[in-house]
Amino acid sequence: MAQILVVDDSATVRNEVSSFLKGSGLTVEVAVDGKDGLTKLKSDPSIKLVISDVNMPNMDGLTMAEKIRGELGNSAVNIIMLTTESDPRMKDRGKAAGVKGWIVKPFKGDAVLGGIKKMVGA
Amino acid sequence: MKEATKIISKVLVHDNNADALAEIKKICTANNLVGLKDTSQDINSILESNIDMGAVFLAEKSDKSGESSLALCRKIHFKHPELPIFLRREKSESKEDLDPEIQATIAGCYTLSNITRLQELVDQYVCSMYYPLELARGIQDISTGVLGSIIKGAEVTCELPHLVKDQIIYGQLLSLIPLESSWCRGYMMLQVSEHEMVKAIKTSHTDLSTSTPGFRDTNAVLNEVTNMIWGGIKARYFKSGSTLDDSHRTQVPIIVDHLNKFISFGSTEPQLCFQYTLRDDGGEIPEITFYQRLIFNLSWSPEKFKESDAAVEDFVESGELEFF
Repeated sequence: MAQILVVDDSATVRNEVSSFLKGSGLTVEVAVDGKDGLTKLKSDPSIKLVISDVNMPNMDGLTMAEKIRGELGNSAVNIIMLTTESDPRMKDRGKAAGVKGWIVKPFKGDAVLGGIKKMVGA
Repeated sequence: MKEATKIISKVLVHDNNADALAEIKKICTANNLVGLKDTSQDINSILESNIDMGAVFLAEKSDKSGESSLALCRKIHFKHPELPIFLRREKSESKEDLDPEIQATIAGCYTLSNITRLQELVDQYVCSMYYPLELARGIQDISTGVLGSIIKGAEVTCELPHLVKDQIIYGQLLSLIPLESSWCRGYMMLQVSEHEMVKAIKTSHTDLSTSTPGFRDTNAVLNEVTNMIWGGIKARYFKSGSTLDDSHRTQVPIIVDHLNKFISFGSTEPQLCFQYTLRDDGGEIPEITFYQRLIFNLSWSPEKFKESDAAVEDFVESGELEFF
């Protein structure tokens, strides 16, 4: 049972983000790519927010977001992309898939914690 | 175009003639070349080292050790066929009278009586590819920032960017990621030694929390460094809407020779190289050296880079949450 699912193929980012969030009193699950993210989201209905990278092997983050809304029919979970990408076309694709926010890496926990807490109702 | 850049290239000078050395020095100064004078006379050790080089200057006469320059040409060419060899001869600028096998190893010959021929060779083989200084500076800034944020508590310094023609693999870890825009297509390669990275992880200088790091952990750190630098370059220099259609996506095989620690991208054009050194004042981790190379082997149009300079102005604010 977790409030937030962190999806990133980079172990360093998974560790950095989840450690920060856990240290801020939030519960966190991690996934290594979009495919794994979908599986973890399906198996844990308590997840309120997905923080995902875009460029990942097997399934990218935007495809995962589209599948969350489409295949899973989950319109309740909030999705934020945490990525090195800043291309407006990618952001547009994210918006169309129901992504609620976009963070360009590096992750600066203190700068985004307020927004994250609002999204999980903490 | 080379006068617009301060990007340097290291060249190996194996010549003992004082007059020749003076002329070579002038050529080096005029072309941002750093001459590495082979005072030890042991050229083998230099060839075995990890020094990035752009060319070799040899003299036809045998060196002090008695080794014939032609034998040296053969040896250098066998070890580093990508390195152009400029042979100083006493009378002739031609290589036609040399053994055909030796001819194939030499980029060109010159004499002291016509030093402009050496300048022509340098233009043709060492300074044949122009890299905008703004691009070099930007990549250096982005990379220095990323390395400092991922390997924590270490001071990051960078040598002047330089051009290299050799294709040596340094260290045990290597990452490659494509760089693609309307004005360039190629790869960024990062290289580092594993044991230094292991020590950095073990002493909590990264975001990984393990006291017994293995190769997967070091790979993970290199993966993130590569990803972050790539993202920074893309955001800063690759304008949105400037991607290529599929008809422009040509490819060539990349050859990795593990035995000889050699990698070929198919092109012999000079590569833009940066060397970053990370030092920890606390002495917990050894010095870590990252070698970064940009290899635009598929397409390179720096004149279009100038058109996209405006992209620099739209620097993306990182770390903030942008709500949709």
